[in-house]
Amino acid sequence: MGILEGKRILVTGVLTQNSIAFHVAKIAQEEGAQILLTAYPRRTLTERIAKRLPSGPDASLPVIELDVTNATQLAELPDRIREHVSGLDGVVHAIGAAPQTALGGNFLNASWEDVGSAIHASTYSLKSLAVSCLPLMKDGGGSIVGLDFDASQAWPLYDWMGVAKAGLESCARYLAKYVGPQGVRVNLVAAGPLDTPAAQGIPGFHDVADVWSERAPLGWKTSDPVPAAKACVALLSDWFPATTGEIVHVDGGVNVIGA
Amino acid sequence: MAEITDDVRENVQKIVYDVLEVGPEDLTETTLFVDEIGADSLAIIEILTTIEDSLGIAIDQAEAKRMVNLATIFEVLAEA
Repeated sequence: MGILEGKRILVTGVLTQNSIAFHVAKIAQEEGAQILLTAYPRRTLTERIAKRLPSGPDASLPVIELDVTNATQLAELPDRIREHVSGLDGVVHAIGAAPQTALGGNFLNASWEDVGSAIHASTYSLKSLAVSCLPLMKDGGGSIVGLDFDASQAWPLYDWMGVAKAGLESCARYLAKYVGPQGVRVNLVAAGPLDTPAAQGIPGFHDVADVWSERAPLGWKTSDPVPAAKACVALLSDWFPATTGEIVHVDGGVNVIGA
Repeated sequence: MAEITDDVRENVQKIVYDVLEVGPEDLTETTLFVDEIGADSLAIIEILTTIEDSLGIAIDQAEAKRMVNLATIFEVLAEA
């Protein structure tokens, strides 16, 4: 029996087969979970990639269109989910976006409009998604897991996305405080740099990846999203029943090594 | 796939037209998807993924960076 047997998990951000989100959905299915996906901005791409999950090309995996900055879609989400399942046991927030002007060394000149857009999509959306899904986690609580990149330090060229991730870390702690009484846990997985399409849009990615290959005591493969995905699945399971507001580093150990 | 047959060529062109929502009149083999058509990087990933499904082949996702127009897609496919 898998560690997610009988659990109903909503996974956002499945856009490519190399992504952490895809591997969370894959491992969660292997561990017995029933998976629902949200899609944005290319629903047809998510539907195509969903057919590569263990459930296979013939499974009618629910794929719900969801732009987490769209208040109407957020309000409709619980009903869209109820068309498929009566409740949720877990939610995976794998969402982050920033205009190119907010990254890549333009820190001092990026406009509030662009920075605000990055924070809306990457930080505030954790709260928005959680609030939309809370009514579905009334019975027996649940687990919300988000994807982080260590925001305790400044990184080359990551700029306002780094600020958005720092906000995400704080947002997860406050969410943990507010939804804890309902039995809902909120945790983040801070993965090392992964060569996903999301990362390819981040200038300076390879400079940061070099730091990992030099410093990680356990070593680090930028091509392997499985360790981060496994941590997400563990946090979605019943095996962290008293852990919330936490950041689990899945980075080969880099965050504890000074130099 | 050493040889790109006319069937494959037509199939790939149709995929690109569908994903980018353009017609043959908008796109030559050298028209740049991003700079000239305004495509985003996920559209290129969708083209790559759809070609994989349609032709039953696997293409390394890193190749998406090379796939800037139809001509370079055919180059990638010839090596796949």
